[in-house]
Amino acid sequence: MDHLLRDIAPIPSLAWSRIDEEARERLVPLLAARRVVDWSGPGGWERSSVDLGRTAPLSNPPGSNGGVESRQRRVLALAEVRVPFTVDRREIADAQRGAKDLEFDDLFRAALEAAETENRAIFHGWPDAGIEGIKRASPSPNVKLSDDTSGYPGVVTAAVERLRLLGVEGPYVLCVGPEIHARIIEAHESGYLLLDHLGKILGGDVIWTPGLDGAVVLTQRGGDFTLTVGQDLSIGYSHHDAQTVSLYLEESFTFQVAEPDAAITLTT
Amino acid sequence: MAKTSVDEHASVCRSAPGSPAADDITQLILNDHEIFRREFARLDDLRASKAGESELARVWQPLADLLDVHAEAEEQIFYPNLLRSDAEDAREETLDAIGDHNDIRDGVEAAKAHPVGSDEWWQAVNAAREANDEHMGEEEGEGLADFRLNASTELRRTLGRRFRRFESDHAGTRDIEISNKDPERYVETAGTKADAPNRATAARADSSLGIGSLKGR
Repeated sequence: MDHLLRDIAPIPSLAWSRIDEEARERLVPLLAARRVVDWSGPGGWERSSVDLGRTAPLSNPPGSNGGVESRQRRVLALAEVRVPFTVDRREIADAQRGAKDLEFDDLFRAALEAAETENRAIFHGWPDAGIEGIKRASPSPNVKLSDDTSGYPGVVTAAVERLRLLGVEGPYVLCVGPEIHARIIEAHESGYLLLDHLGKILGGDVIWTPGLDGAVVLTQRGGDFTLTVGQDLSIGYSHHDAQTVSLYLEESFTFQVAEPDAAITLTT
Repeated sequence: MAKTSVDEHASVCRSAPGSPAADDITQLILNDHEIFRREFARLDDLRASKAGESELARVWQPLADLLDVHAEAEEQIFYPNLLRSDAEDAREETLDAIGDHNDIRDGVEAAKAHPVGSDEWWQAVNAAREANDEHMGEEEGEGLADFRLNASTELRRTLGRRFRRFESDHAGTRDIEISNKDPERYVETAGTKADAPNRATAARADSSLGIGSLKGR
């Protein structure tokens, strides 16, 4: 048995299967950042850090009179994220009976929260976890996106052009928060969909990214952004009472930017 | 037009899991083996009835695709986990399996070079069949049996869901590269592909929802 304690939860195997499937189906479209960054892992729950290949100065060891040079290796520790949720035991019983219309509303809320947490950490950073994030790392001046979508093709073209001038090859993608995404998919230019126009400029997709404020244009050539995962998103068991079973979504991860120039931030 | 077993397979892949056994990767592999046996038998019938090129192609092409996708799914999902398990003969069983997969792929590839129904085409199809028959016999008696003895029910079901999803996502060899692999090199790298510090960690990593990288999707 591992630390998720799934084996002792009062959940029969078929119901577990349905809960996992529902979680996966909800999470995959929400985990937008995973669609655009490189992946390393999973290394398992035991994995604690990523080797940075760098050192920091260290004071002299005890008893040394200055004849010893010392340095300390630097690592980036993985952050653990856990989002609790509950499942009604009647739904669990019905899942075992083969019900197809199960209500896992709290699981869906937890899936959104977990996915937004990962997306935010990747794009906006998470200082306490040592994650700088793509937007903070990017040295390029922020480019403003107005409310008027007619200016979007020009702004995105300028961002792509800047990446090319920096030697950052494509294809490129445009990750956008839900509000901007809604504006883009509603917009037409003389009968031509703005979404299609932007796709042609980028040579890649416009990606709906919950948890992202504003937008980011970034390359997909690979090697610039890496999500390192210890334990990939999993469901574990906490406790239960007569009405509900308390579970949680959990993962451990960190994120590194190897080439800050590989993204351009657009703000609203 | 009548459905082939491979069409039925595709519909099973798209459907929600119906029972815990339906998710077990060892059961899903056996299900594919049954389809292979049945479809090769249909080719026998068509040969006996001197069926035309289109009838033969209608059975062979989906069968050939499933042979390739099944081998790739095993190599990406089943064999890395067999290698990480405590099964004593996992290494030898995997070496045999990858070699057999190469022979099957060679047969499928060779068939593409000849007109459907020609002697040369039948020769290539039979080569794929012989390699597949040998592979299925060994796998059922060794690799699958050892995995049942050494892997938890939960892991088998987690892998089964990934296996089903893989075959569904890549039905008809969509978005996968079919190529032979060096068995020794595969064994060296596949068991550690999860970037895991040790076997136990890798096995536990599979308690996850198995989402992994979504880059490019």
